[in-house]
Amino acid sequence: MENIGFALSRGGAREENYMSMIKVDRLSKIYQTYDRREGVWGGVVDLFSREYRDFLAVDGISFSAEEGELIGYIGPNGAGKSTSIKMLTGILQPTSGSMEVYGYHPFKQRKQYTKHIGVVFGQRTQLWWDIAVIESFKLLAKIYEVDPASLKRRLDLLNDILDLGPLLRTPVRKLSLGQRMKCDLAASLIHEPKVLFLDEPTIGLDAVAKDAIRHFLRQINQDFKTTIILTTHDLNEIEELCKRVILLDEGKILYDGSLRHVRSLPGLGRSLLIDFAGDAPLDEINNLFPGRAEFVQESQRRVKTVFVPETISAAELIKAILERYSIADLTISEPSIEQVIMRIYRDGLPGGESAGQVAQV
Amino acid sequence: MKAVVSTPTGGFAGGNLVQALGVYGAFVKTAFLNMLAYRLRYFTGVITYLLFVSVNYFIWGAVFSTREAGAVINGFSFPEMVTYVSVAWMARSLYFSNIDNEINELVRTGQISVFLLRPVHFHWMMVCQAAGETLFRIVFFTLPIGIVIVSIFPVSPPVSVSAFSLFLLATAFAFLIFAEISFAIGLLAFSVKSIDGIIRAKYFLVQILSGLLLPLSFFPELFERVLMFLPFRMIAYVPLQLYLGKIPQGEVPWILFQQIVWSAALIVLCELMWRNVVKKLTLQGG
Repeated sequence: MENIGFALSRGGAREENYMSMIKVDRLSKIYQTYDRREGVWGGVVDLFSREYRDFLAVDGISFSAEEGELIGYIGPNGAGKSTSIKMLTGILQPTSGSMEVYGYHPFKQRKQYTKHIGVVFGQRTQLWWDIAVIESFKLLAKIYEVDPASLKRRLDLLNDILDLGPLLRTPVRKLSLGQRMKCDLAASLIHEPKVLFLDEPTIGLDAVAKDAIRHFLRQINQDFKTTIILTTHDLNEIEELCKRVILLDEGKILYDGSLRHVRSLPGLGRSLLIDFAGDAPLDEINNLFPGRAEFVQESQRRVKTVFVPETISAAELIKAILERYSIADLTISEPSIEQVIMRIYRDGLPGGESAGQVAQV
Repeated sequence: MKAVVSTPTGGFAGGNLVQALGVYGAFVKTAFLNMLAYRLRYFTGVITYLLFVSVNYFIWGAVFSTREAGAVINGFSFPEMVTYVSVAWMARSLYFSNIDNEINELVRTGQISVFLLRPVHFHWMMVCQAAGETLFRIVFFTLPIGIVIVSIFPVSPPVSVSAFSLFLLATAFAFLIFAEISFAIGLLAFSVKSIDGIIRAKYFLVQILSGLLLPLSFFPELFERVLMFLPFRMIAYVPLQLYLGKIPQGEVPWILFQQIVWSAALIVLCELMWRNVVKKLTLQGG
């Protein structure tokens, strides 16, 4: 892992110098659900006896995170993201396994624990709807035992990055979605949490607002060393922000490691697009690299191939073509992160690596 | 490895209590500010209350007009009846709270989980917010409506200063009892699909059983005796009897003791219900 723990020596409060901010070990959650029987008679029967069924939402996940990491926590709907975040924030009791965040057991020590974390749900607000934003901040400061001087310092800092100024005196109900999210983020940071859990913080925002939020997250991650767990469906966001991703599917961790590593996983194709000065000699170039790269015609003058770097390098391809033909333009593109992730979900990790192996990277 | 790093408990004994009072005082203040956003709504409320009192005034006027002057019905003379009705409605604005609807809304929207993510006690928070709303109503509602009602109808002043203090004290407990009943009803939202009907039923039942609409001495004797064993009469009937000086001096401590016992019992009940809800919530997810 890239960030090995920061030495935390706070007045000797800790016994060890190295510690993980988050430690999760074989954490599982089983929900009890029941199936409804069909039809009217089924409904009546349901009233008296229900057939309970166990549903394994999170299936023995393990990972750890160091202080200051910004981790993308992704997976399709129903992968167990929300369930595991709920457990990590202490509002859901795990069925088995252990976890520790900042030295606390999130569920067993919920009340003390919540003083040290910030949580933002993109769909919900933690601000009081009808009062000015600043009043919500003041109340939160009271709740989290932040004295007025620290609150002011904190707000000045947040203000620099988020430009909250004019929003502070506005009631939350009059804010736009983007403005509200800025305020919600600021609210979650008033008590200087060690860990910030973000669930879809940019959902429904326009590009400008999204960009502001991303900039802000990077900034607080750097300035305050806040550990951030970011859940989102927006993979561009993950790519922009997170060095490390944890990929969940069906309650299990499919991949845990750097994004760069996923990208360079063997077997993922890059695409090469060539515009010839004249007509594209498709058959000729296909004979140049038999079995290693196959071109298809895109238009009269344009061909395209998807090649795997392990089989043939971009340099070799381009050199061979430039030597023989006159080229108007060429473009190489990396697979988009979406393509990469989609592929992992579909085929598992390429090259036969198991999640366990990759997690060691 | 235990994080004992930053749990500021205050440097002195009782620091926690001061801290707690600060937090919950802030809830009172926030609720007050929140209500300020809706102050216009209260002008219509003034008219509604005035209407209630007027209707009651004319009904009782008609009832008493069939009797000889100075008649007493079920222990109430006409001036006492007018005072009872007027003060009962004014007092209602002091003890009333909306906790059941608020919890219902929090559960419906799922916003409830936000409160589990905070180091606050949800139960006390709701009661403090209700208190903040009551403070708001005292200033923007009870005082103006009181002035209007007193200047229109022949409302008698409390029989003595001590009677008035007892009335205020009893109304404070009425607030607590009402709030806890609302809280308990609100918590039903976790187990029942819709509690709108239950809330409405509670609304009317409390109006009747508390003695707001009709002094309890007007009820059939058996019914009245059953009501003696329920907390509702503590909300309106008991404080008003204290206002009118209808409870003998010797019985006052006993009746206040009963109010305290009811408040405590309901607080314990709500606390148990809340813990049960949290347990279910954290087991089954929000």
